[in-house]
Amino acid sequence: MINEKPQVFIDISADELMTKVEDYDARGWRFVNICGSAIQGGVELIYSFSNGLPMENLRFTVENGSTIPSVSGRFPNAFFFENETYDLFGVRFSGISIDFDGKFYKVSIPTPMNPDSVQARKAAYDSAPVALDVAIDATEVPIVASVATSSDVVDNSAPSAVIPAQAKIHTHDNDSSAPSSVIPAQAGIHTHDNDSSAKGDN
Amino acid sequence: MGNKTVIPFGPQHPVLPEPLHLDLVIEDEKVLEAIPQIGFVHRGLEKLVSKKDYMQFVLVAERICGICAFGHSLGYSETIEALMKIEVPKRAEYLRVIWHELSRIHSHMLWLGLLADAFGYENLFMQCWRLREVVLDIFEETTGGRVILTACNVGGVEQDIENSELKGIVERLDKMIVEYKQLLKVFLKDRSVKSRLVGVGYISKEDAFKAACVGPFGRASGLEEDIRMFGFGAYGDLADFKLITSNDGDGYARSEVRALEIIQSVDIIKELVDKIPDGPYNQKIKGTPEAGSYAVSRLEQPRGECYYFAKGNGTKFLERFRIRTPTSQNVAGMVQTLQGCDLADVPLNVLTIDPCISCTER
Repeated sequence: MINEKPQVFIDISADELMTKVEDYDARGWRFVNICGSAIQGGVELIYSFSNGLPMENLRFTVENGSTIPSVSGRFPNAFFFENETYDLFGVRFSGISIDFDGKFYKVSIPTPMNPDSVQARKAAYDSAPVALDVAIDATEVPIVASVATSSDVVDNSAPSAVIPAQAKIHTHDNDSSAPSSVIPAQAGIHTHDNDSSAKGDN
Repeated sequence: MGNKTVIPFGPQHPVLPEPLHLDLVIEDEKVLEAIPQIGFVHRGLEKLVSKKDYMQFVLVAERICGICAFGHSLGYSETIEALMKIEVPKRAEYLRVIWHELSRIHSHMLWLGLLADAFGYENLFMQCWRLREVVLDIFEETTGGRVILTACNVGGVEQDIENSELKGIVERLDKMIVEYKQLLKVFLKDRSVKSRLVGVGYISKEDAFKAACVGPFGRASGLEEDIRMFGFGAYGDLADFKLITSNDGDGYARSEVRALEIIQSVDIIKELVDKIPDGPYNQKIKGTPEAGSYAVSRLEQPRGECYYFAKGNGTKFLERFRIRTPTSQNVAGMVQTLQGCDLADVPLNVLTIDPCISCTER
């Protein structure tokens, strides 16, 4: 039997999101995707859920610079799409299970899919309780600059391409009680140890 | 008990054809936690819909991935057809599925070869890739390309395959499958293969469901979902479609599911070649997607469910096009399989989800 592909789009408001998500979780649906698309002054988000053949898409809009709750607590695979949507569209998610904080994709300009959000994002950073070392202004040198800044903290003998990524992730590792600057240095030392025999050959 | 140590894995690693970085927090030789990072090859291909019109973009969509290239052009075309409510000729639907299943055979054979190489069985690797050449030769003869086929387009397919040629393809696949079944014995029964795969990277059905694993990775843990079973397009004309699943949830189960899917794909191709109707295989597309029109589509790629989204704005350029690839669904499951595994099994674990990072980042 030939089936038609289901095209169900449900318009909701951003406030209803968590209620709806909890409902899908309780009914045993699977989380499929978050899709952002830039619109005038904000971002349209589509959350897709499926349960076998049926698939439903929740559609709502948020303003540039908004913060919405993360659904990664209920659906672990959502961390991927939430980090991606933040990097490409500038929509912030609170409480992501693995938060890369703007370092998920190596983009050459901030929020490339939604350039209008840069100013709103800058305002959000200025009011953030923790100082973040991401370059926000599009006119300045962007993400590359932050990589260079991070590597200054790290042992200079360590390979710079790998360690900054380490530094960024462990900065946001909630389980770690150690100061963030200690972990990358530790990682750098161990990398050095493991490679010491190879370096000796050189 | 040793101290906790952080070991960086990737982005360059012999087992990884594409860049994926993992922070492995280890104690002694056990992995306690793995934190994935991608983003090294993000190309922004979705953004190109503002530069290429909806007919041209099918060529870009095909270049998203070198392995499931045909699948992406098929998924994109099906989404635009849903957006513009275009009906595809029946023969084109059959030809699409035949090429798509051939892609699945070549993708799974490539993966089986990589797996054999990862656990040091180089002869097996060589034999898998030798048989894969049969499929690539079929691609070359029917479309002119071995990797990028440019065979699928919105509204149908670019070229026909004559019925006599289809019969010839089936004969060649029949010969190939005899040789393949000999390899299958090695993959499924060899003691050295089992010693590297059985019990490695276990993920339970509940955890796999919670992490929303898709494709052979999910089916190896007992999740019964395959987009093909919903009967979209020519899949709806199959007499029967039996899911290939396993309840073991380990690396061996994943290789078993993929290995058996190759035989299933050959059976699908044979059945469709017997049933393929005559008639047109393409049509001229007129008009543009309406403003405010939305469409979603799903396709079973070799690695699992792929999700496509398109939004029209009344011009020949799409407002937004989105692809959610199977690997981005499977990363959360992969991280779970790594927790508690031996450091030496990490490369195999990463490989058994068949990660495709270029697809994932687009």
